Amino acid sequence: MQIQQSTKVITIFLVFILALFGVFIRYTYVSQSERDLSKIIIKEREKAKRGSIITSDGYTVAYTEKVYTATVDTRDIPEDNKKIFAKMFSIYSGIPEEKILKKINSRKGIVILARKLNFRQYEGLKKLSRELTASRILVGRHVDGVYRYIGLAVVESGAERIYPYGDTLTPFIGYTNEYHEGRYSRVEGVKGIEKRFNDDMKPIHDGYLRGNRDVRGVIIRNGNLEQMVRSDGSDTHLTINMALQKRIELILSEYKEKLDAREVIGAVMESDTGNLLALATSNRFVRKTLKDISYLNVDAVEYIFEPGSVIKPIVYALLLEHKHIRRGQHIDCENGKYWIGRKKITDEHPMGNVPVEEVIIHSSNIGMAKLVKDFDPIEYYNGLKKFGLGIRSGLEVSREIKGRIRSIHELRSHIYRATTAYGYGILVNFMQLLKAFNIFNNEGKIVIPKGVAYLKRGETIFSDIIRDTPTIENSEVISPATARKMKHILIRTVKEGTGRGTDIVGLEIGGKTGTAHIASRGGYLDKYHSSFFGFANDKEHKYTIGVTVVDPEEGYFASQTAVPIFRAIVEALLETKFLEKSY
Amino acid sequence: MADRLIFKIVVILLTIGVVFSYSLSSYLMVRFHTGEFSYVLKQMVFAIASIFTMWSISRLEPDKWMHRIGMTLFLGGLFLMIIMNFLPRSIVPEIGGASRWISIFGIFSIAPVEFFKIGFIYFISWSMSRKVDIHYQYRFVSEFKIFFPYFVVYLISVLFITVIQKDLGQSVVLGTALIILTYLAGGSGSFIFKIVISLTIVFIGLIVTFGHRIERIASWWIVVRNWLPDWMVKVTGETSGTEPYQVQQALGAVSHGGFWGVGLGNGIFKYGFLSEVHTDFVLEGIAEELGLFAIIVIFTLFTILIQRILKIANRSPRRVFFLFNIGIAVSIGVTLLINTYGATSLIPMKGIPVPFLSYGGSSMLALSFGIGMVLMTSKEANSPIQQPLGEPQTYIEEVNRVEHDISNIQPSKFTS
Repeated sequence: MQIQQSTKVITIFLVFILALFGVFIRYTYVSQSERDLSKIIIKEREKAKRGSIITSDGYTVAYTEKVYTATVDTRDIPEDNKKIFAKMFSIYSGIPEEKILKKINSRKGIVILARKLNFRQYEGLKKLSRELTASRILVGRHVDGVYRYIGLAVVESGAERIYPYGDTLTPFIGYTNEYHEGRYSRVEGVKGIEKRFNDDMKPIHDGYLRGNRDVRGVIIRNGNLEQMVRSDGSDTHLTINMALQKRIELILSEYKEKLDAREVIGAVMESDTGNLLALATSNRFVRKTLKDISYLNVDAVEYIFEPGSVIKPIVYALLLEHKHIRRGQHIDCENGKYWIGRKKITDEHPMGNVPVEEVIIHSSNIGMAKLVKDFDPIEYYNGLKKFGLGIRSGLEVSREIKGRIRSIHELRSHIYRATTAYGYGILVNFMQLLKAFNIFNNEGKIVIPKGVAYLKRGETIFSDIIRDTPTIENSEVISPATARKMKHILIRTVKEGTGRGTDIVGLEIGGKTGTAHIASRGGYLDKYHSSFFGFANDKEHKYTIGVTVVDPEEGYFASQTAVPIFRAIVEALLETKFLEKSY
Repeated sequence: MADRLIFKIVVILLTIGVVFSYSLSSYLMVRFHTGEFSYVLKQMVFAIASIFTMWSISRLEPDKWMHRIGMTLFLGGLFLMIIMNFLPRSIVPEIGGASRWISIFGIFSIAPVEFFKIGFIYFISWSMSRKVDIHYQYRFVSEFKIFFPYFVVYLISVLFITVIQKDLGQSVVLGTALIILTYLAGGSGSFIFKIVISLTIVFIGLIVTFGHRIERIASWWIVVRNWLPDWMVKVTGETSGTEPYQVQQALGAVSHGGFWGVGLGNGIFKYGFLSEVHTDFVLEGIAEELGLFAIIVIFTLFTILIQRILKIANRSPRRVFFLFNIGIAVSIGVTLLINTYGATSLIPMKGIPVPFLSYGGSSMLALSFGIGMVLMTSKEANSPIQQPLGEPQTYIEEVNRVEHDISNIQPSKFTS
């Protein structure tokens, strides 16, 4: 009997061992098999942002804000709770209650309640979502024995470009268009600074957190956590001073209306650096209310015109530099009428035999025509190019129209040398003229006009911005002596010549007016451009200032149009302490 | 001297249980704001109480105390299981659709069924050792008459455990223990076979009555189907659906662990994926963190434990101790098997804790009574000299048998 009992006990033990071994095989099989473990890993992305555009005095004129979308699974809202849900959602989002109710009653399943929510709404709704879950206003349901709950979800859905100061600094800063990257909307620069620095400003790479998660999708910060910090695009820092820019924009808008002009362009540039403190136009836009597409263009570099008399100092400086003008030389201005071949040239202010500077001071076309009579075409052509005419100014925008000057071949003819000398038959843009006039106020050295000071990503500053121009920064165009001479003539022009009305006691102001008819299909219309280019200095600061009025209806002479605007700009510089009366 | 190895193994298993009650409950602690140590502290208090219980019971005199403790557990457990049906909800809360626990002052709760299990095993062992003479082979009818009352007692407890408490696993454990004890007490093979068949029918009846069990079987079938050859699947017909969620997570945890595991505390599936990871799925939780290696260690410990208990049983001088020790070994073994087979979806059964390892005081404490009693009897069994089976008792039993069943006596083929 004892043996039989032991046998039974051993049998029981063996059965147990066998059964345990069976399940052990199962454990071994499972532990060595590959199962899909992707569900325990989660990747939380953090979208990188496009860089901002910031003025030199710290105003952010364009930035990117993330926008959020709120969705709800309507199956998680019990019928009785729909009203309270709509009310709560309405409080946090600011969307009317009825609208929400209509949406959640529209269909079963996931419904988009709101798009383009801002960060504050997002924070509020996220909190609300937790509250609704905790208070069981939203409840999940069982599907195939598994509890499913989505409830109220608020997710980042894209980025929106914000221009907090409306039309300020447009069209120079440009604008962006929205495009979609999957479900995520991003923006891309289309014009102006936004396009020119699109590659620099656009987000570099998104950040993410990748690691294990718990069942509710919360990342567990254990040793498996991988982290990538997001890398935003560079910020573009402008040279523009917001305070001055805003003032000048208001001045230009005011004069546009007063003169009934098509457009008024104005700019202020630091003479020794080329930094633009203001680059303004009367024709600014807000994207949403844009009516005239031409307002999108940065006319300072995209609008070309015949400069008229403002070109005279440039040609005169070339003549001086090449010793075509002698000290104390007199020139006969023929009392206002002069013929080159069959072409008649006239002056607004007829003069007789006058000292040669009077040609500039009183803006004599005849004087200029006579002065360039024997000017070498190659020297003439190269000189204008060196002044920056007919080549890109280099301003950092997406598009520039460089205009054209007479070719060397054309300049072999006296008539072309003459018309070029008083600003007809050639096309320039505003920025080229500003850049050329700056040479007189900068000891004969040329600088490239700059609207962008540097790019900044994180703490790294990138100041070596490539500017699309053949101009070599700080190269000498005319000798300092010639520059000083020119400066003196321009000051005299303001004091006694065509530029009268701009002079302000205590400042050193010089400049040249210019009026040119608008050419159209081979003829000249009764429309014209009126410009004033010059400088305003105190003992410490030197600024080159330009104004161009396109097609004013009121007043023909620059002294009635561009000159008062120039004066208003100088006064704005005084107000903003860029200039102080020190002479 | 009580068996020290059993004591040591149980202490090791309890320690593993305490360590993992800390690691595996981390998600619950955060989710329900229970405080970092609430689970581990409770488990540790119970583990220490269990070790102390085990130790003190093992020191008692078996002749005096075995019967007292055994019957107290049996009657006490039965009493509690009956009266808990009449207690208010505040004391007997319904958790997951089943009322298994009696809450005591709201601090901790006990599951009477765990204590009843030990008591039931003792009662059966005690009663069978008195009534059944293994030296005789009974005819079926008289065999039926002897054993039938035990199955009536069993079926009544099944009524409480499975129908009211909805705890099928425990009934299966008890049923298996009962059948094996019947067999060892002298039941014939054919009788056991018939009993198994009829109990199977009863269980199928229970399964059909409770709809949710059918669903469970259906989802289990999906797992099993993957193992079967195609033609078999075709014969049985397609069932739609995927692996049940919990099994998916349990298997995922084991797979994630690999051989060496992801390291203590580094498990991921405990973060809400594998619910009940600290109780019914504790082995899978351990497997994720310490790998298949830990499963090998734990299985080895259980194998040695059961082998030791069976050895003590085999050497017990008295039939009641022999049967009781077998019953405890079977109870521990079957509980472990049902849990592991269920958790890996080899059988469609869940909701039974792993002995010593799972979080929960009742199972641990009740088992410590059982092990304590095993250790108590081991003092007599460990003597290397084989003692003859208790003669006086056999004699009394024989008298009893003659009294009520004399007509069934047949010449026996006994060998010793």
